[in-house]
Amino acid sequence: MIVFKIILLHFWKFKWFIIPLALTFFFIAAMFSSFSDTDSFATQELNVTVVDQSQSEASNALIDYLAKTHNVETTDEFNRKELEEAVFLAEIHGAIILDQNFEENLATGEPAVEVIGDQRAAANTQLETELSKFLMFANAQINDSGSLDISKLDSALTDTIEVDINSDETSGNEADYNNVAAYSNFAAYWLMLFLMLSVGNLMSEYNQSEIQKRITVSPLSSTSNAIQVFTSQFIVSFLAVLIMFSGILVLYHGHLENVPLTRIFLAMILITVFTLAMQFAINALTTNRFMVNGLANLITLGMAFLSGIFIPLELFGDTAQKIAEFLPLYHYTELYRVPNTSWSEVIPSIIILLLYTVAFMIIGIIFNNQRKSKQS
Amino acid sequence: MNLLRLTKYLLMINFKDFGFLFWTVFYPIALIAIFMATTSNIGHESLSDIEVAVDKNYEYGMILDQIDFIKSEEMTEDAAKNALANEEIVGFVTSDGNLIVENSGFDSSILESVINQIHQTSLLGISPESFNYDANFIKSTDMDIAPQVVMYYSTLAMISFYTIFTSMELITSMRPNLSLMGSRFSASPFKKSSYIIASSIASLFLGLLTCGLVIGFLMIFYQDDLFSNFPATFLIILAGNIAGLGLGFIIGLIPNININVKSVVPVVFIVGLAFLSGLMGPGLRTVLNQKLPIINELNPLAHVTDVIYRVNLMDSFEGYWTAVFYLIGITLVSCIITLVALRRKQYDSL
Repeated sequence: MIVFKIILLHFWKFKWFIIPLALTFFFIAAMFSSFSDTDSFATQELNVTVVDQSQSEASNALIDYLAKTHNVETTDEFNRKELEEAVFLAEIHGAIILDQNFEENLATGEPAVEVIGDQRAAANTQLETELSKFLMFANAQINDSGSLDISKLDSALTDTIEVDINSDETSGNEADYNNVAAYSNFAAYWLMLFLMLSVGNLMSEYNQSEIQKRITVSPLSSTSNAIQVFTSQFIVSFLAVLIMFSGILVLYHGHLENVPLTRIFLAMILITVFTLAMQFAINALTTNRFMVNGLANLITLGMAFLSGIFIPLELFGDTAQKIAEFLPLYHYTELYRVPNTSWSEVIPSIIILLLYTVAFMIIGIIFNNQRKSKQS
Repeated sequence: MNLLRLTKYLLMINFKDFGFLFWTVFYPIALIAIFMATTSNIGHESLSDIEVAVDKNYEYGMILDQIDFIKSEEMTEDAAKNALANEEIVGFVTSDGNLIVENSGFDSSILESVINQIHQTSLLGISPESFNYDANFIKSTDMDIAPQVVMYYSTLAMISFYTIFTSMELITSMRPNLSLMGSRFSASPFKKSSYIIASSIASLFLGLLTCGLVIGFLMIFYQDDLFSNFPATFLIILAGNIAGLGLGFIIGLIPNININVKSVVPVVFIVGLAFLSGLMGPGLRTVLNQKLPIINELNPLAHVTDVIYRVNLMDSFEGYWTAVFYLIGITLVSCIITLVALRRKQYDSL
């Protein structure tokens, strides 16, 4: 079992990159999680920056109205470039500039507010609808009685209709499921990157011709060598899967109803085995660490992007969506994409992942044999 | 002359290494090509009509028909609930003017706002002729957002730090306890400074070449002009490359770890910084900037990304020189630490 022990010891050398990498991952996952504890409707909260150049009673009333449902940041300094940049980078849904003549324009029906936003976005429509309502009501009051009655306006605006959710199960559970699904997506990227970098670099060292020549002349049979190498790799991979999976149980504790945990666990195991098979093929081809690291980065990042791990597939063009269907990571996500699917519906994705694994194993064995025959 | 010759030989060695060429030339181009293929549609989705079902007894159903972005039809409550469950409609307005939706979201919130407005209009107690439906109270300034551009700039920023690999290799190769070449160096009278300077020039040249290739690729294949201010872009990328050199020196100094394990550190470090600065979409970056802005204030890659889009898309130099000096500061601190760590390692002082 000497090879088994040596490889596990080599893996231990990676602890100082595994621990920060895992902690960073959990930290980001925790930051992204937004739990929904109720099954009731909630108005979509918008991030809005308001520049109040008017500082009037009416402008304050407008800001107070928006702040009741949205995340409003008020500023006196008007820096158009800064606001445009924030909108451009999607840091805020919109910027509102209240004109110096806000009250006069409100009375005369002239534009009193400037909104900087992406006009194609639903968030912009929501913001402008709510602004229009306030401005139209305020203007109607002035037209009707000659002055603005803020308390009456406020009491009308706070009297809202009842909004119910159609099915009681969907809202909270859906948000929880989406959180776990997003976590599992990122976990796949993490597992692939970790395994390709650690196994790749370790095996590129192990496959150096000097070490291989020593193994060849040693009494260790090639079958025993292969079994020990794969067992040690699988044990480390399984531990990595357990760490990632336990992250779900810890971070989302109490929010796991309706989450297909068994299928997520199976998906993680399958993508891990696939990654090991692919790395086996890569290591049979090259021991160059620039290649190993470059391929690890390119394959994980590329596949994650093309499979909809980072960006939803719906936003892709048709061609990119078709390409995604051929990728293993896409089939990994298919295993838990819909919470209430039956096992028979996900069997094709399981088979595709297994076929990819077998294909890379065969490629790896062929290249490995070629490399060995060259060495001897 | 010796320095130039040494630089030339180092460049030739690097160019002969296929792995190095893959890492510095093929990998960035392939990555950018994948980003362009997957993100070409982002930011181009537009708001479609909001489909809503209305009870036939709802007295303001006619008003909904007049709103541009709403498409309404009469339906019974049971049929509407089925349509909601199948996501065929966004909401159902009951006979008493309340709303049933399938879930929370932008479309449901817009619908809620509209139905609220109808409900609240009657509560104001103002005669209908006082409402000015023709007035336009809002002046809209459209920002044609393109979140994918941040990803391209973030990739370019990431690549500008790739000099970290060459400088890490350089320092490791000079450590007698980490490489065979290092032990030969220590035992020879070869000038360490010449080798460091020549290697730095060579890796800087390769780093700039890689960035140039990526910029060229984006200029040719991306439909919009991403680099309207080329000199300012070049300077910040140069500063990024120099900072990469400095960070690589520090990683190269880590003792008792072989180069294979050590080479994983910059890969993870740079990808991590790039993710925080927006490489995997603007979502993480936005959340971070809202909840923990200090992270990206310290992140050199986020500085490079920010500056590239500011100078090219916003025509703004805000934070430009801060970023340049911050990157140069990283290099200076790294070089000082490296010099202190490497001193007295010459053969006559061992």
